[in-house]
Amino acid sequence: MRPSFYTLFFLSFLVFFPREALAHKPSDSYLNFKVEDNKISGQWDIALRDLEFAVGLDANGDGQITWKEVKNKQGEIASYAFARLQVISGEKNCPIQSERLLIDNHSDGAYAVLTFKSDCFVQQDLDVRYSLFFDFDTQHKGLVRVQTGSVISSGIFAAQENKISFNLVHQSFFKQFFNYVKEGIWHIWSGFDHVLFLLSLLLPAVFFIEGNAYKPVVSFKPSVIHTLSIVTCFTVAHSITLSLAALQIVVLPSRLVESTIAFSVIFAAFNNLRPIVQSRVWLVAFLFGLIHGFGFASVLMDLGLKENNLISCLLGFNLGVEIGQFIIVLFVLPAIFFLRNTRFYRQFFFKFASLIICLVAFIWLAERVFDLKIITR
Amino acid sequence: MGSWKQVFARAIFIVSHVFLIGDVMATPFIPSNDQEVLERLPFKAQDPINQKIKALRLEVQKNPNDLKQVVLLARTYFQLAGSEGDPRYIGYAQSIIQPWSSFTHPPIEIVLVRGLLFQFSHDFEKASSAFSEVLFREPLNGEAISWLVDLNIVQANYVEAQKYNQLFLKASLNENKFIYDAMIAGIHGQSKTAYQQLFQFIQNTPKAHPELKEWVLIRLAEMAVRLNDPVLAEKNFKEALTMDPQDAFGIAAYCDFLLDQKRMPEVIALTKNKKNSDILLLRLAQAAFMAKTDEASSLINALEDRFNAANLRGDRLHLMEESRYQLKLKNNPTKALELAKLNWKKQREPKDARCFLEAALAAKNVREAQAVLQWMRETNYEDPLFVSLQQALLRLQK
Repeated sequence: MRPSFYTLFFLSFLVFFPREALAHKPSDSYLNFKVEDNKISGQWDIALRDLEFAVGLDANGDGQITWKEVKNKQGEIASYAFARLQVISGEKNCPIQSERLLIDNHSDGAYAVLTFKSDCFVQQDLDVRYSLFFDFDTQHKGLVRVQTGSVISSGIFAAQENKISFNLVHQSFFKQFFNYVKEGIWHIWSGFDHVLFLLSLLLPAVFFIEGNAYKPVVSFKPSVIHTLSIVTCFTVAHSITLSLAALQIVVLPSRLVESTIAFSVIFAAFNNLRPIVQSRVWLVAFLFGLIHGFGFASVLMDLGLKENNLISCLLGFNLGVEIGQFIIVLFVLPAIFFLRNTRFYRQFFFKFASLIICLVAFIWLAERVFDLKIITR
Repeated sequence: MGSWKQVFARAIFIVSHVFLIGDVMATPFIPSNDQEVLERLPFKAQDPINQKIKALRLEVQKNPNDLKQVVLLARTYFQLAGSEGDPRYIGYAQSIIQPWSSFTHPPIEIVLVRGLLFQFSHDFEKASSAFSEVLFREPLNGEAISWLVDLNIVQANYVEAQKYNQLFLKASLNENKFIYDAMIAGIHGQSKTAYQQLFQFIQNTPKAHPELKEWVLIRLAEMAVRLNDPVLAEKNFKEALTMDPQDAFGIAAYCDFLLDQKRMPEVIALTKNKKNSDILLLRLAQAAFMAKTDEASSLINALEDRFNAANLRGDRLHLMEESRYQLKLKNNPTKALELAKLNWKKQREPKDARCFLEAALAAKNVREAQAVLQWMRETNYEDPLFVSLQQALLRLQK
């Protein structure tokens, strides 16, 4: 039995191209930008193998690329490469000036390293357009990294994706961190449901229960302990679920979360009118705190989490929420302690406020469950 | 609800991604000597293959509508990708056929080349559909049949493979069917008959193409290993490598055989000048590690750099090798098993199965290994090493 030439031709494919015989990875270039004081500098590592194909480096054709051969082509290499890179900021093109040519050895061979800078004033955005080698190598990728202060963003250019926009709003780690702290504080103040829940739990802190009735405390200490236990439990609980939700480990439907938050406010306020839970208010704070955490997370997600500094965003936002909470306690607790013995507080304010909170939360619950708009704009 | 494992993996990826790009960059320098050789190219300017490509590129540039030349150039690049192991050539070939493949109905020759390129990039689904399209338009296209049989064997779809293999008869390519039959039988516990058949085939075709002969000899060697006959296996490996001493695939298969026999110095001698190839660097590092040579740690680091650089791109073509690296050189069975599992989704050849079994055994995870154990039962796979792995896993279960 002798296979025809035709047969061998087909079979030879199996021989020539075993799937696992890839010697190394496809072509990549490494493009690094550094933005400092609104100015760009950077370096671009491009494989000599690729430059050989694009501009021809091996002048004497001996199959070896020497430093002299690379150096002689410096101008050509730089103009070839930078013609295929465009940087735009604030809708203005940033001309790039090539600086030095160096060499670096990567794991898959030698690379030309082009350092560069641009004098243009970088705004908050940086649009990078990259078309190096895509015209002849569809497998090529450009791995880009933009560093502003200690914040690093990265991206991958491919033949089908030759444009990446970087947002440089948050110039430094700390600036970004504090922005999220600010957002956290702001959220606890503007998110009425969280404030009202906390307030409902705080209002009875200046009382103790005797029989079935609220009696004003004598000293400040039990009020502080009561408040601390509530705030600590609420904080621990919502920190847990905020992290779980922000990292997308647990995701709950927002309507369920928002409705339960409304219910938690009703429950807490109603408890002041007709005590259901008396000694274990901390448990209420903890259990509902879990749900409030999901509510915080949805706000954090709306702000946009940057993947490369997710942790700083999360910590910053959580810290902000705690600060906001602390400020509320700081103002409310001394005020109600001061008023605890007055008839106004005991007979009127404590009950009236709880009733109003209860009503408002009830409307929220109806809105959220049935997807209506009654008092919410 | 996102699986926490996925989230964790994603978080690790993001964090490592950011640090890795920095890591990939060492310190750039200015070479001290003008004559310093920075890079060696695969060919000299005057090498015939270089001349051929240059001429073809000129032709295609002049007559971009000349389908014959376009296909010839793309196929030449495809061959180079295989022989040089450099995926750059796949990218070159893809851009050469790009203007044609954007047609609604590209010519059949272009579809065929697209299939070849997809399979090289491990996009088996797109490759299969390209080859199926070729068969739909030209039912007896031998090359498309050949690839469909092959792709299905690689993915352990043996029934499907047999179905396509029957088509060879209609295409009057009986020898192809014969070889693939032997290959499939060899995986199905019939290595002995399969060995004899393939051996006869080689004996009766002295003028067989050397590459075909080498390929068959490696298959014979693997069958001999399964039959627990190391002497016969070695004879076949050695003969195969005299046919093509530079074939990375053949060298790698032989090295694996030697590593199993703890013959590290021979592996080192075979691979020490071939560090450019990722798969051979793995074997070299493994041998150095087992023999505890001074070079071991620097080789392992070099390998780690390669995997890091490749993973930065986001496409992972060396999952099996990476799994082996994690298991044998990093002592990280959990990671190794995770990679072996990913690999098994795409590739299901005996060596993929072995890698999976070893990782599962090291990670003491019998549950994950079920897929491969089932494959062993279904195929009656007979390699004594596999059987001992299987038994060790089953003992764990008890």
